[in-house]
Order: sequence, then C-alpha cells, then structure tokens
Amino acid sequence: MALKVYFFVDSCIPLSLIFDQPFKREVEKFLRDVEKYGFQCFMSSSVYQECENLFSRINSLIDNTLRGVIARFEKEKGSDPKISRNDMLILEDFFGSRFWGRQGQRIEQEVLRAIQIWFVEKVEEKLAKQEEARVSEISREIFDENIKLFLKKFSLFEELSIKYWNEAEIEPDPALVRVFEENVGIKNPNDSLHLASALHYSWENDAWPIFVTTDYVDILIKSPMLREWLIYCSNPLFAVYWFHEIQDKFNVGFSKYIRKTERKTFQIKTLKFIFNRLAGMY
Amino acid sequence: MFAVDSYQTKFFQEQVGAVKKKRETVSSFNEFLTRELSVQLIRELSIPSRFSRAELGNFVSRYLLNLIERNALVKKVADAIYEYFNSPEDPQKFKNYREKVMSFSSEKEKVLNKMLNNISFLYFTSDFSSSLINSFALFLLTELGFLEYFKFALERLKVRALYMKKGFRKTIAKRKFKEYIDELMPKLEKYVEAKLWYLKLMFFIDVWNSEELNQLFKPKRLSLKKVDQSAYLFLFRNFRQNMRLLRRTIYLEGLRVNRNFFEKYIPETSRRAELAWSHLVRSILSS
Repeated sequence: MALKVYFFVDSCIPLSLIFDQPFKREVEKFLRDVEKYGFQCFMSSSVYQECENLFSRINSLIDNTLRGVIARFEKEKGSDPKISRNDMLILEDFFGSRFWGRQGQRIEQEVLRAIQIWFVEKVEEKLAKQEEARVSEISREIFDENIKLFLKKFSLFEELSIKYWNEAEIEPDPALVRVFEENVGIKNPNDSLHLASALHYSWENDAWPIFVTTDYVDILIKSPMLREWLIYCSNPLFAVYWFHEIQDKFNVGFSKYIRKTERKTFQIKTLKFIFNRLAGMY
Repeated sequence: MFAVDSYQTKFFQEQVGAVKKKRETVSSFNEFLTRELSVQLIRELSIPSRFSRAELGNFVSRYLLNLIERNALVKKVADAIYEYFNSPEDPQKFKNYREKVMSFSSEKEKVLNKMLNNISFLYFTSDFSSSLINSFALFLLTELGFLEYFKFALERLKVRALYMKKGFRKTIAKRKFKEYIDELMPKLEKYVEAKLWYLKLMFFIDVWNSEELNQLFKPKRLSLKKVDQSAYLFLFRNFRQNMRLLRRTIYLEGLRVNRNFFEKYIPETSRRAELAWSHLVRSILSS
C-alpha cells in the first residue's frame, strides 16, 4: 500500500503565482503535478495567516502614505486642496521627507517608491486635461484602484486555496517550533512556525511531510539538516521526486516510523520525546 | 450600507410557517420580519448606555419596515417570498417568486457594483483601517458572487418547475425540484449568517457614533475610536469568519457550475496598481 504523503505549501507558492514573481513557472509545474498525481496538498493556518498579513500590510502602507499626502497638501493649501504643475515639488518634498529616517526599512521605502510613481503618473494624467486637480479626487482614484487590485488578488489567492490545497488548521507544539528556531537555526520565526505546523499535522495524520517552498535563503539551503528532523523540503520543481523518494525509502507511516525506528540520533530522540508527550505518554 | 435585502434571511423561512398558521396578512408578515431582523441585530449587541434596548428595537423595526414599504421592488419581492414559502411546491408561486427575485437581483447587482466603486468614500468619511474597509469591499464582492450563484440556482429550478407544471415526468421533476431546494438552502443560510454579521457590525459602529436615535442610519463621520473596542473585535472576527465560510461555499459551487465563475465578477484592475503590488510583493518576499 502506498504511504501517505502530505505536501505543505509555503506562502511564496501562492504569492509567486498571483503576483507574477520569478518562481512562477516552477510553481505552475508543481500545481500541474498536484493535479496529475492527485497529491494531497495543505496550507497550514500559519501560512494562510502570513499571506493575509501580507495583503493587510501592503494595504495599510499604501493607505497611510495616501492619507499623509492629503494631510501635507491640506497643511500647505488649506482644506480640499488642489494640485497644479506648480505644486509638484510639494509632492517631491513629501516623499523625500518620508524617506528620511527609513534608511533601514527597505519595504517601507519600496512602498513609497511605488506610490510615488503611481501618484505622479495619476496627477500628470489629470493635468494633461485640466489646469489643476483635487488631491482628494486623485487619492480616491488610487484608493479605488488599490481596492480593486486587492479584491482581484485576494480572490485569486482563495481560488488557488480551494482548487489545490486544504487548510491544515493546527497550532503547532511550541517545542517543535523551538526545534526549528534553535536546533536548525531557521532565522524567520514564521518559517519555524510553518515547518512545525507541517510536522505536527503530519504526525497527527500519520503522513510523511514535504514542505514546498522557493525560499533558498532560509529553508532550502538547510534541507539536509531538516531531513534529519524528518521534514522534507523541496523546490516546487522537484517535489514530485521527493514523493517517490519517500515511497521507495520507507515502508511504514510517519507516526509509526517515529515510534518504531531504532535510529538513535539526537533528532529522532527529540521527536520521539515531543510526540510521546503530545500523545500523553509522559 | 443598510439596504434591506435581508428578505432572504432565515427568519423568512423559519417564521413563515408560524405566520401562516395565524393566517396573518402579508403586511403583518413584513412587520414580523423587520421586527425579527431588528431583534437579531440588537440582541447581545453592546450598545451605549444613552440608548434603551427596547427603544432602539422599535426604532430599527420601524425604519426597516418603512424601507420595505417605500421600495416597490423590495415590497413585491417580499410578497412573492411570502406566497412562495407558504406553498413551496406550487410551480406558479415559484415562477412569480423567481421573476421577482431575478429582477431584484439585477437591481441589487447594480447597487453592489456602485457601492464597490465608491467604497473609497469610507476613507474620507471615517477613520476605518484599510483592513476594515477592504473587508467590507470583499463582502460586497462576495455578495455579487452569491447573486451569480443564486441566479444559476433559480434558473435550474425554473426548468424543473416548468416540467412540474406541464405534467411531463411530473414526479421526477418534483423530486428534482425538492433536491435542488434542499441543496440551495444551506448556502442561503450561510449567506444570511454572513450578511447578518455584516449588518450587525455596521449597525454597531453606527449606534456608537450616534448621539440620538434619529441620527441612526444617517450619513455621518464614523469613528472606531468611539466604539466599544472588545465588542468591535468580536464582531469583526465573526464577520470575517462567516464571510470566509460563505466565500468558500460560493467558490466551490461557482467552480462546479462554471470554470470561469471568478472572471464573471472580479473587477478590472489598473496596470499601475498591478505594477506597484508586484513590486511590493517582490521586495517583501525577498526581504
């Protein structure tokens, strides 16, 4: 009988696809494999939350910047201010002042750049047709464009979630999270949470876990070390081969393997201890 | 925001039986359901001490009833629902109900699209966070998706109702009709549940931002700073959770019906916005 293997997707999997990121083709290939072989795919609650947070974070950064532009123009020109060619340098000054003090905050800087271009193009579009334009009207159009984009992208995200994976609702055991943080040295706390969720959920369902990610810097580079902790991390292109590897290598389910294996490595002993505790054996 | 399309609520379905037994009139049915809706809105809701729960209930019932009575189309739909749910197996009643609901759905679609296009209005008339405004926008989009599915479901029922009327394979048609109704009801309930949480949340914010009863439902600057924070978080969480359940249901059903279901109601987006987001996501992912 074939072993149960669960694939867990990292947040970069849906996001690469939705936002045309560099790993899009790898992800598309993985999703074709999921359909072709009928793999059981999951997204842990922590990954879902991370994706949701990313949407909120971008929205609120854009929102705050736009509110800032309006406030600045109100300060300069009174209520319901208008913008003309002569006021373009107020914009430059506004964005310049925002960059000040954010030297280390790369994302905030990127947001400012993106909105700066967005805003200037919008203003120039308006001023090509009229002498001056209301700042509130321009901001409002940008808000609208932004909300529509959010709705489109978020709907795509949900569509992917429904087509390709189920949500694995799990709050991983803190000891498992610590394993990834302290023993494996995963720097990003969210990544440790995702890996621990995958491991915990797999143990509960007696399925071998494969964590699919495009994150070479923090996760894939540590793949050999992570395999010692019985979690298989893979680039989406090669996930299907890890599936076969597991099928060939093991002849028992995940939970049973942990219970019965005679391997006495530190990793196996730690996992045995944690899972036995979770099973109420201590 | 408080458009009363709650004629689809479960109170209608649950309570019609009781009304029928009492042989009450359609207008008392409308009174009954607006009273029920106001009870549902206010029950267990945190309200400021300046309002009494009973007064608030009466005010909301009167307001909603007035809204139904004033809107000819909504009134017709409410009448058709009343008649249909009194005899759900009568094809003629169903036909009438379907026609009214379909025409209401088209109207409702226009209203929802208009609201969606004007959602940024909230940025200028409130201190709502982008996460709240976007959730409202997502709910409007969800309603559009639900309408799309609902229209499909009614169309499917119409065919069965026609068969039933003509006597052609009457028994099979009757059975299928019932099956489709049974299939539709849980989805309708999910919609009602989500809509109720949406209305509750909006109503809650409105109540805390009103000094007197007659300020309710009137345009005003809304502030989250004035509301009971823990109650707000509870309502917002439940609203989001129920919306998510509803969206999942709609997607599953929508995709079953039509592979291009999503494209039908997802708004057009601008190239500039696409570029900005793509740029931002790249920098966040690589950070």
